[in-house]
Amino acid sequence: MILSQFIFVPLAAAFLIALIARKKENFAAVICMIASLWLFVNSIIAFFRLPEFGGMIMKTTSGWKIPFTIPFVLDNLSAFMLIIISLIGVISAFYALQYIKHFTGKWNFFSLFMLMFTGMNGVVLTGDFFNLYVFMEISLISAYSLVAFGTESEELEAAFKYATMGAITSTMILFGIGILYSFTSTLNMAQVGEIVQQSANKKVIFLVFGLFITGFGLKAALVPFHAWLPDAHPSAPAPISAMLSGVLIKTLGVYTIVRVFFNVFGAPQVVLTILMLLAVLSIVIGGFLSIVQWDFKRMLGFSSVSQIGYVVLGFAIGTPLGILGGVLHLFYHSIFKSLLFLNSGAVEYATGERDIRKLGGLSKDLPITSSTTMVGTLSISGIPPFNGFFSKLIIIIACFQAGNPILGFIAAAVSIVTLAYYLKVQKHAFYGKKKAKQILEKVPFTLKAAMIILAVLCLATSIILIPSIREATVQPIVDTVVNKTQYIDKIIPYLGSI
Amino acid sequence: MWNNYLFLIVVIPIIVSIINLVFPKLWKKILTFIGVAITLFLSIKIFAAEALEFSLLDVTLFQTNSLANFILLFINVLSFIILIYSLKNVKEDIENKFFLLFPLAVSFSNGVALSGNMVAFMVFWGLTGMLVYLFGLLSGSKGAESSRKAFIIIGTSDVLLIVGLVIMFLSSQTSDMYSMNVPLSSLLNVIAFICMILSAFTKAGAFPMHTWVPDFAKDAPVESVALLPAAMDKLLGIYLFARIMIDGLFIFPYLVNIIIMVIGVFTIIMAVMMALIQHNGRKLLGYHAVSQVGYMVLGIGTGNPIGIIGGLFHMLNNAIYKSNLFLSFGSVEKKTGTADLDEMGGLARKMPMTFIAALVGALAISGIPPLNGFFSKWMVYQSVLEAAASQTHIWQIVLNVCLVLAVFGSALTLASFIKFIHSIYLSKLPAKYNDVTEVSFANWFGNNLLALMCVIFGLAVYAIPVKLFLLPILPAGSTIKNIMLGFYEPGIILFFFAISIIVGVIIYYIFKKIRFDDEYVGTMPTTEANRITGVEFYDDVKNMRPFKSIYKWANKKYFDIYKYGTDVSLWFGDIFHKLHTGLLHTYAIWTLAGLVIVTLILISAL
Repeated sequence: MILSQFIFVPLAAAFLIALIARKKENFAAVICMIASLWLFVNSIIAFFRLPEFGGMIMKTTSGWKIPFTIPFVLDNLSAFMLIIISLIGVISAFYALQYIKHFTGKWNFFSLFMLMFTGMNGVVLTGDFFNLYVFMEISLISAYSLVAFGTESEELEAAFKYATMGAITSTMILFGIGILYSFTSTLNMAQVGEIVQQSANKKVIFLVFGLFITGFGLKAALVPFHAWLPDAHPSAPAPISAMLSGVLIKTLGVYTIVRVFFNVFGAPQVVLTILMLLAVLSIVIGGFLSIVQWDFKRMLGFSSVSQIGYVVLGFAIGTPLGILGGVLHLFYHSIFKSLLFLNSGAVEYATGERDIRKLGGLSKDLPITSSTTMVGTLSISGIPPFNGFFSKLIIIIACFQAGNPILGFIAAAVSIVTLAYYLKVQKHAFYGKKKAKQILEKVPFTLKAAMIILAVLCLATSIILIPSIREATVQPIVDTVVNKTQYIDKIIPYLGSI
Repeated sequence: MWNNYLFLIVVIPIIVSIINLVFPKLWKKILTFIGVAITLFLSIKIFAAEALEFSLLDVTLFQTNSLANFILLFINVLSFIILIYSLKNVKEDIENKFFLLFPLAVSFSNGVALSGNMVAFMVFWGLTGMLVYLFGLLSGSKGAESSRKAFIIIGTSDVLLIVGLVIMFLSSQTSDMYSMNVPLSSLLNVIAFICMILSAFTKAGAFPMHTWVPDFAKDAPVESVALLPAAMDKLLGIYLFARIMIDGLFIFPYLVNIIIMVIGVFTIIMAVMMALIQHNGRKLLGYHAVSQVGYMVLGIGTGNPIGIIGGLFHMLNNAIYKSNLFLSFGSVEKKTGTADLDEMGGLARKMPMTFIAALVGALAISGIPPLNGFFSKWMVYQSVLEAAASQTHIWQIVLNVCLVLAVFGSALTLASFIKFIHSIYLSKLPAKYNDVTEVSFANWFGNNLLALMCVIFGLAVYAIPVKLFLLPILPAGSTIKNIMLGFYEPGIILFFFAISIIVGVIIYYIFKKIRFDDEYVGTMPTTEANRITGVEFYDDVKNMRPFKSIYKWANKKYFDIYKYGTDVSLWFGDIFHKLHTGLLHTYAIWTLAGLVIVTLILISAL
């Protein structure tokens, strides 16, 4: 298994697009599709071949030894993230094929898209703190420019806010990494973890924790670090919104939090408590904020804040069941939130309107968009048998089981709020009285196809819950997180051997 | 798997619905009819069998007992009859979707009745709630608001059920609902109990979670109203309620029963008072659908055998006559194009078959012997008496007041239905309806099948419902004689009715002195514009002292839990929204403040 392909394929695609496709814009789309399909297929192969390698594949770039090179580590958690990234990536890219024709500079879009892909794959694969920071910046910088892609004043403002907030916290993360380096004299995650475990005086580490929680918390859009998201995510073109809300906040935020705090630092209780607090704040505040929004995409943005709260809550409970809930909700949310963003894109494409008060009666005019939005709505609100029901159920059970009934009540109550604000969209946009606004353009094929695929996945991915399938797929991922610092124990011997 | 009845009865309708996706309209109907006929057949088979089981992946998903059998049977009987009605005259533009959803409704309701496993129960419970919403949306923009309201309230019931079951699961360490028993010993368990009860109340439509029923009834397609809130949701909601109260899911003191009985009586009175003043026929029926739930809650709440079977029998009766009434009203509405009682009148001659069905339904719901509604109410009254007899003074008074109010509620129901029948069928026919004709065969036939059930379940009450369906639910060896307090024989009542009618007929033929005359208002004969529709019969109640302000509050939705929910969420939302000024430096300060607080917490843990 060549691990570096997950980084160099999209990177090469990005530059190839910039080189060749400037002149022939259609090439850009072709290259982008081929690259993302390649990544999708390979990420699935990687996930299912992992057991052959004992659950973890490690590679160093070039033949050099550790302080001079970077290790790539593929374990179940990263392979799982790779699948999510490339799944949503390939669907969004397919959606963008026709969606993007409203914009100028298509090749820019695809090139940046591939660059964002590179960054996310890198974050997931790397075993090195500084490298993590670099890849994170790659994906963030391309995300900033993609948010500004429409170049309207609103979009530029959103991108600017996003960039500023991102820069502040990236500095914090970098600062944290610096402290770690001065403390441990290494940047390798496993080695850092080992040294921190053995050291007697850990006080300084707590400062690093604070910086990391703030830094990664902002990437994950946890309250109170969320304020950039409702501006940034709606401003991007719909397929990018789907990537940002569906994948980016999870890769740069949730995944890094889990990897760093669970696998490297062994999930200290105080960190879990803080995460739990932030998660609950996100769930509640994000939920109530969504209910007063009238802009379809902005509402979806706030909803992401609320839902990411559920994901982090699952992990922060720290029991195997809670982590299972977190992993599942992470996966499921990436599917239905991408679907909903693509839906909002299709509505905007067809009507040129995002304000749901000005829409109405679309269920007749846009039957496929309408029915797939219904699927998304039912999934995210946790209506059985759609996937969101099961992940939320598991998280709620985990809350009660871990002796935190109040968290369980909050998680349950906010799911009513979630239902309420999604039904608001249904009522106003799809079933309300028809407004004067006419359908400007039909929803093209690739948009429809992408939405249908995701809608089917909303239902089909529920089967992961069947015990035998769960054992084979999600359980190893949960084990990776539950076993905490076993990650270190697996890597250290490898580092010694090279 | 494919030879297990319990599996088939849930899966066959789903398969039908999937095939219906691609079939043309006529085939959709035929296929749905066949599918529902098969489930009806299967439900009879299951009813006749002893306890059955269905396991998948080592988990017992479906289980039956006598209560589940009983509910299952009538889910299928009623949906079959409602399907017969729906074969004709479902609105053209929604027919396609209607026949996709109909089999699903049957399947999911069956699923709820059969589920023994808690997750399966949650799933099917949620699915039936979702169907309410999808059916409501068939009305397009008209039903958009009421179906949203319905789904939010029902969604709340799903969440309550989840919370309740999760707590029960952790407390009893089993996901099998048949072997759970949770004592109300800790606060958490009490909360679980309240959640479960409220969840059942939402589905059935009892106070305080009832407010979706009248609104939904007003706007949704009438066939779906007859199917879901009038029939299935009653069966399922009360089924869960009965499971909680009698199957030993919880162990609780008798005070809980009394509180529940008081809620039941409150539901009866409150909803029937609202029904009295309605001008929209569907809303009137909707409020009665709520009011009748009060009797079931009251009966089952007593916890004594007569009350339990009385409440369950009332649930069954209500499902029958309420869907009957909704369907008959739907027929009228289809022919006249309005649901407003002010606009209707004198349709009895134009639509005789529909009239008969509606009349039987109205008499049954008002508790006129010898129809079925009387007997179940009678059983409920007896159970309250019996419950009162075993209590100390103060509770005796409370329960007796409950009894009086329940009887009074029944009188008000009769009053309300006099208005209903009069204004639709008996008052003067407006000229615009001169060309109205009877609805098609499928419509009135299906409708009258339900009316016939009302009559049969009333006249042969001991031989059929009590013996076949109700007694098996009670512990073995119970007989109706040793649980009933008084003496009641429908035959004798029928005999007296017959005698009085015959005497009336004889008097008519002997004297033949009848004056036919016009209606007068003041000294002038009424005209079309100022004819007496009957809708205003009880408008005086609206202006009476205590009721005037209560009705005013009701109009302002002070009794609507949905309004409070919306207000509170919007209030919170606005507060948070105002904090988001859009200014970058504010957000940066939040981030830094977050960093400081997080670090402080971390340091404090050192």
